[in-house]
Amino acid sequence: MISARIGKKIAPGFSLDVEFSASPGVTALLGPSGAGKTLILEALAGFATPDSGRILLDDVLLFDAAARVDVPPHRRGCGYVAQRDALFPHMTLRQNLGFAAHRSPRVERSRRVAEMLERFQLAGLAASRPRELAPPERLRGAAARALLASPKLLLLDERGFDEALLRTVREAYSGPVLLVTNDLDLCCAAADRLTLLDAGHIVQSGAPRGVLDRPESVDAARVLGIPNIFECAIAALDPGRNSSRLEFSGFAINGPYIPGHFRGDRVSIAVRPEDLRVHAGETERQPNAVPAALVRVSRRARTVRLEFAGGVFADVSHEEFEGQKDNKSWQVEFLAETVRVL
Amino acid sequence: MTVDWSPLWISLRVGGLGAAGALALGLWLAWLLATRAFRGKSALEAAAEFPLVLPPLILGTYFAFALAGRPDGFTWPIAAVAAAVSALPATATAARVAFERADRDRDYENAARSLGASGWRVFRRVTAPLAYGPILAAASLAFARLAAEYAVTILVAAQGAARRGLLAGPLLPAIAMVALAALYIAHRLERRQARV
Repeated sequence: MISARIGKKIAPGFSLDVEFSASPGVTALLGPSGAGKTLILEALAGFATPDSGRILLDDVLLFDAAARVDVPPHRRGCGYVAQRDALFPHMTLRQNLGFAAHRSPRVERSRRVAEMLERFQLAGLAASRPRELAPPERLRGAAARALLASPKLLLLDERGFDEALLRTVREAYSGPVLLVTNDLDLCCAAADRLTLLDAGHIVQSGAPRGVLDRPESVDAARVLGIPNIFECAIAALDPGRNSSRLEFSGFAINGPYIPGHFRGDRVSIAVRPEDLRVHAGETERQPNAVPAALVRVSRRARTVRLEFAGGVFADVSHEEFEGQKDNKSWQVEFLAETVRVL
Repeated sequence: MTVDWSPLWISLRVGGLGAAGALALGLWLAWLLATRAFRGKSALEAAAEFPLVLPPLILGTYFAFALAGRPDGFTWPIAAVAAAVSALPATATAARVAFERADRDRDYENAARSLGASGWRVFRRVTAPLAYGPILAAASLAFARLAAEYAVTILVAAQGAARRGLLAGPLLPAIAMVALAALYIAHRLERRQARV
C-alpha cells in the first residue's frame, strides 16, 4: 500500500498539493493536461523531489521532507512505465527484459524473461530491437520489463494502455498500480478507484462508477468533461415530493430535492449532454423544458452534439437528429433525476 | 626501389595518439561544460574552440618552440601533442552534444533507475552505449584528419627528388587509404547511432 502527501511549487500560481493512498488494484489518475498527474508519479518514483510531504510504501519511508529522507529511485521498488516509451534502443527486447531481472541468477533470469515474453505475447519478437516493434508491442515490452523488476508499486504514465493490456498486467501483478489516463471507459472497465486531478489538487476520489455518476464539485464535473454546468438559485424546495425548483438564465426547471439548502441559496448543477432531451419548439411545451436557440451542430462518431445559446449542450443520436434537423425552433428538456447538484 | 614506410607509421602514431588524447581531454571538457555551471565557462568554451582557427602546422611550431625550445625542434611526440590539441574541438563538441542530450532526455536513465540499476550500472549499460557512437565517430574523424595532415606536412617539407618520389610512390596513397578507412568507420558509427 502506498500513502503519500506531496507538495511542490512548480511555477508562480501553480503548485502540486495532494494527499492520497492506494491499496492493491488499479487507481486511475484522470485530469486535464498540466494537472500534475505525471509529477505525482515522478515524485513517487524519486525522479522529482517534492518541497514538502511524506511518502510511505508498505510502511517503508521513501521520502520525508522534514526528516530529510529521500531514498534514491533504484532503491524504491517503484516500477515506472514512462509517457514516452523508454525501452533501451541499443538492446533487443530480451536484453531489455533481462536488464530488469539482473538480480536473478542466470538460469532463473532466462526462465523469468521467457515467461514474461510469453505472457505479454512477445515471444516471437524477443530478438527484435525496439525500433523494429510496433508501438503497442513496445508498450507491452515496457510493461513486461517493469514487472520483471518485482516492483512494490507500479506507475503507468502511458496513455496507450487498453483494457486487455491492463488485464494482463493485473494477472501478473497483484500490488498497487497508479495509472495515468484520459480514457473514462478504461477507468470504468479496469480501475478499482478513480482520482480526479485539477490544477495540482485532487478534486474527487472514489469508485469509478460513483465518481462518474456523482461529481461532487464544479471542478470534478469539468474534469469529467461535463459541459452543462450552471449556477442556479433555489426558487423552491419540496422534501415531500423530493424535488426543487431551480432558476438560471431567466428559466426555471424542476430538480431533485437539495438537502442542507434553503430557498434563495445559489448552487451549481451539472447535466450530461446525453441526459438532455430536445424537441421542436413548435410542439407543446414539455413540463421541464426551456426554449433554446440552436447555435451549432457537431456531428460525432456515434452522436450529434447540439450547442444551444447560453452554453447548453445536448447529444442526440444521428437518427434522432435526422428526424428533427428541420426544426424552426427548439426546446431542451431537463430530466429532474439526471440533474446533479454539485 | 625500396619504399620508406616510416612516414606512414609516424602518421599512424601521430594520428592515433592525437585522436586518443583529444578523446580523453574532450570527454572531460565536454562533461564539465555540459553538466557544470561555473565562472569563466564562456572563456573555457572559447579556449576549447581556439585550435579550430589555428592551422596544425602553426600549432605544431608553437609546441615545438614551447616543448623543445626551438621552432624546428619537431619530434613525433611533439607532433602528437599538437595533433591532440588540434583535434580537441571536434571531440569535445561531439561529446558535449551527446552528454547534453543524455542530460536533457532522462527517460532511459530514469527507466533504468526504476528497474533497480545503480548509478554506475546506468552509466555503463545505458548512458555510455547511447552516447559513444557520435563521440567515437568524432575521434575517428579527427584521426583521419590528423593522419592526412601529417602527409601534407612531409610533402611540403620535402624538396626536389624527394618530393617527386613521394608523389610517385605508394606512401601517400597508403596514408590516404588509412584516412579514408577512418572516415568510413566514422560514418558507420554515426549511422549505427542514427539507427538506434
